[in-house]
Amino acid sequence: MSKNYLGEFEELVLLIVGALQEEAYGNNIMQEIIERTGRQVNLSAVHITLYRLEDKGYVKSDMSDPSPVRGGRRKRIFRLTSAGVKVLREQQEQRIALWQLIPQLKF
Amino acid sequence: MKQSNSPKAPEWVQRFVEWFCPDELVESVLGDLLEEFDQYAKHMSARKARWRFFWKSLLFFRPYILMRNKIAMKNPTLLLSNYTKIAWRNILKRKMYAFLNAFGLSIGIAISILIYLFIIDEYRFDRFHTKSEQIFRLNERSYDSDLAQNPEAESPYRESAYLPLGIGSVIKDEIPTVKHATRCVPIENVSVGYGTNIFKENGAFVDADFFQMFDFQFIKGSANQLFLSPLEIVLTSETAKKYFGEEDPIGKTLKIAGSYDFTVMGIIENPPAYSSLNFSMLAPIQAHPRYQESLESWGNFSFPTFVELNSEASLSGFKNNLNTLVNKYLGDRMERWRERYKIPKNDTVFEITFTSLQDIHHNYKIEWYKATNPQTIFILGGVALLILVIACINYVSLATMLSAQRNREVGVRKVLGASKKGLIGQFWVEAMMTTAIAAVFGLGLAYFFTDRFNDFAGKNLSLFDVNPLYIFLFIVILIFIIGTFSGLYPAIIASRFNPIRTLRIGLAASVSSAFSKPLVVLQFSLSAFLIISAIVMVQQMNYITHKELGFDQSQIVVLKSYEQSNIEGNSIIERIRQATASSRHISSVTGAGDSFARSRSRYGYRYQGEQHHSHVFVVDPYYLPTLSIKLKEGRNFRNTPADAQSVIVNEALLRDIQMTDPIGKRLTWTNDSLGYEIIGVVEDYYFLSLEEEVQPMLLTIDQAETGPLNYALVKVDGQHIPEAIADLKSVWKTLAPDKPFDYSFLDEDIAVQYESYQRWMRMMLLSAGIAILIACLGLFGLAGITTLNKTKEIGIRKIFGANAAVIFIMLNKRYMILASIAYLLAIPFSIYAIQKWLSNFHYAIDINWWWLVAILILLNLIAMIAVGYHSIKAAQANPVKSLKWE
Repeated sequence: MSKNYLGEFEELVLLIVGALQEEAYGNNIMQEIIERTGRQVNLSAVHITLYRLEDKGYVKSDMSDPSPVRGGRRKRIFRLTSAGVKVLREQQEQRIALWQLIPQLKF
Repeated sequence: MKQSNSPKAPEWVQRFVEWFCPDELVESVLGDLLEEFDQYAKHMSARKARWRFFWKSLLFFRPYILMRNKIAMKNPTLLLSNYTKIAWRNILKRKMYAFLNAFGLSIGIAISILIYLFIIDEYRFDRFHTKSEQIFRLNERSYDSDLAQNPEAESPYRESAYLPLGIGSVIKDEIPTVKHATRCVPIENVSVGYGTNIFKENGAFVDADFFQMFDFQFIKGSANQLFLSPLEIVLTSETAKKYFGEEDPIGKTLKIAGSYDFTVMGIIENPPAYSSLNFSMLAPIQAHPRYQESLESWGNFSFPTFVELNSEASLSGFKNNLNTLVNKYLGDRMERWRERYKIPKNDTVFEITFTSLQDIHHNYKIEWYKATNPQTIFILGGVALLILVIACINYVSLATMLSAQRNREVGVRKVLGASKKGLIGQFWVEAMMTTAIAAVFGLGLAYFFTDRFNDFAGKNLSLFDVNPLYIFLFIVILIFIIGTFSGLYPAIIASRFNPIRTLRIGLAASVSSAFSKPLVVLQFSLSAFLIISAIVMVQQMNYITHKELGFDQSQIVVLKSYEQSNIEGNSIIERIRQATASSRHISSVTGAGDSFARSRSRYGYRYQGEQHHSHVFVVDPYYLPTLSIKLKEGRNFRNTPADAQSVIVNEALLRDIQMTDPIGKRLTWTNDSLGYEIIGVVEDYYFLSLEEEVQPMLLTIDQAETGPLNYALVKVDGQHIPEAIADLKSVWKTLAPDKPFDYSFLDEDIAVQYESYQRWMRMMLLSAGIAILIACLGLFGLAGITTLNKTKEIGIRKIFGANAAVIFIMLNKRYMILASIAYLLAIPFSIYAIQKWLSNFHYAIDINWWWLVAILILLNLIAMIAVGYHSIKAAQANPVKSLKWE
């Protein structure tokens, strides 16, 4: 249970990693969060969350090819692992199951 | 897209990020940051963007990022286990070197632990009292005209802890900030008896306030309603057990000094070894034999007094109050003193100062039980540090040399991608492991040598007496420091090897010993310093203990015949003499007011208008013959009333007052204006310590003036000492059945005064031995390695006809030279230090230059023995084998 636990922000980042596919690197993920949710986040917070997810095995990362935009620096691209997909799905199913327990919304 | 005119992110912030970020992350992190910066730059001013950039970068500076490569990426636990495994294998592979290192270090660590215990003990002295900050001991500070004339004295004031009795009685009424006050007057060597249990005790006369001020807990009885009558007594638990065993002591009576019955009112815990107040029993000050007369006598300074101040009291206010008090009670007296001793108008005659309870122990200038010079701590710490440094040097030089042999291992590791940091880490872990093993042995050694160390330090230390956490922390810190100090240099050297060279050439040319040579010199200098000091100390102590003292100190038994104000004890000497006259083993008995090596009475007298001082010993007519003191002129005392008004002086006194032809002249040293006739002159003999010159002294038999004979000195037959003691004991039992038979030998008593020097001497001998042992261990290892490095050279030389002797000399020459250089370096320091030590003695030996040469030869011999094993082995080895080597 505790192993599969995902924090709210972690879930958000994980979803965005899944959504962005090949473009899922630190800066892009931050932009996406800002645009989609309107909340202010720091780059460092995003990075740390990504590393934490990596430690938990939900994402893996590779370096991209160098691009001229960032002074020639490569990007670290994150991808969902199957464990990551699984935990997102579990989370989703749990939610839906809980939704269905709420009577007013069910007709 | 990047344009040439677009603002640039500040370089230093980028470098900062590169510095703290783990290598794996730095590229993507900095890339993201820079991309973000470019976006800022589009929307806001360059300055603001840079500021943002800095701020956002700084947010990455946090443990999760910093520690990342250490925890997740490289898996250092794996590496660490590899390091420890390799380190362990290395230790096993080179057992001898590991042993040399660990042994040397463990001795150093053991000594450090003991000295750490010593320092803890010094620091906690008297601090266990909850009110130790509010309790003060009062001191008298008075003008001493002797000191004023002495050019060597720092100030004309003399300080002591002894005050008039009355101060303690009035101080609480006179000074409102004084909450409690107590006198604490030592009771020395008084006999205490309960039935047939008779022992001598040391106690103290105190006020009832004593129990409110100090934290000595009551085991039985209570601090309230105590000492309402003078014949009450409080015992420590140890004393109570000694007399009463398992009985309940409360309400029982003890016979003190053979005549007073004291009722036991309470049992308190024993004062710990780290207390400046030491006693086995406490009696009310009102029971002091001279209490009533002393109350009136404000000129009698013999009563130590303690006060406890209110927590809000100011010290300067207290000082002013004390001045007022002194003026009120001693004002007249001070004027008289000023006149009599011609004290300059502007100088204070007398004042009362105070020392905080916490400072008593280290305020060694004011004499007090166990008060010591804090310098001892520094000297001890210094010695420990010296030995530790010598042991660390061993490790450094051995490990540096050994790393030369491990260059292949280092090469392979480097080729496989080990970073420099990783290699340093590996060597460091090895050093830590060796140190940790050494620490375990060191702890064991410290445990076994605690008693010896206690003997030296005059303490009662124990490893179990201190919070184990302190010891654990100390050892951990010690391991870390020693491991780092001794492991770092070899580690850096080893990590520098060029892998290509070491792998291709195999055994690289030996590591340059540029660094090990000075280390060996330093090691031997330190050892030489300790050896020279120790040997000169031994010679001096030998000189002191064998110097002709001018009297016969052997076969003299000393008995204490008198105590407190029991005048009866005075005639006991005469009775002993009569009773032992028939004994074949006792040749003569004499009495003296003071035994040797201490003198309590010193009188001032005027001669031809000038003030002089002389020690005064009250004796009897048997004194000179019993001790074989030689008369230079005149005659001995006779047992006549007329001779009570005569004195025998020593030559030093005549020199002091420049008197010639003294016989028949008179000295006025008492209130008697006629003076005492000089009937004899004795040759100078050393009645005090040899630290000083022989002082002026006079002998008298006038007990009325100088007090009773406190000691019986009994000359016994050296062949039959046990029988003589048995005779004496039976006589004593019939004459004084209520007093314990306590005796000592005069020569032992005299030796006791040099005990502290003897202790230092033993300490120096021990440290010198340890230092030279550790240095030799190091040299032994080092010689082994250099011989190994020269195996091929030796083989070639032998093939060309060199014989074993030539090889031996070739290998040893350098160490002889190093030892000699070290020795020459050590000489000036040791001469300086030892001269300082010798200056304590008036009768000191001259440093013998022959000895210095002898020590040099000794040192070279020791070095030769240490390296000899390897050189002989190498010199005798078959050259064919050595050439095939590698």
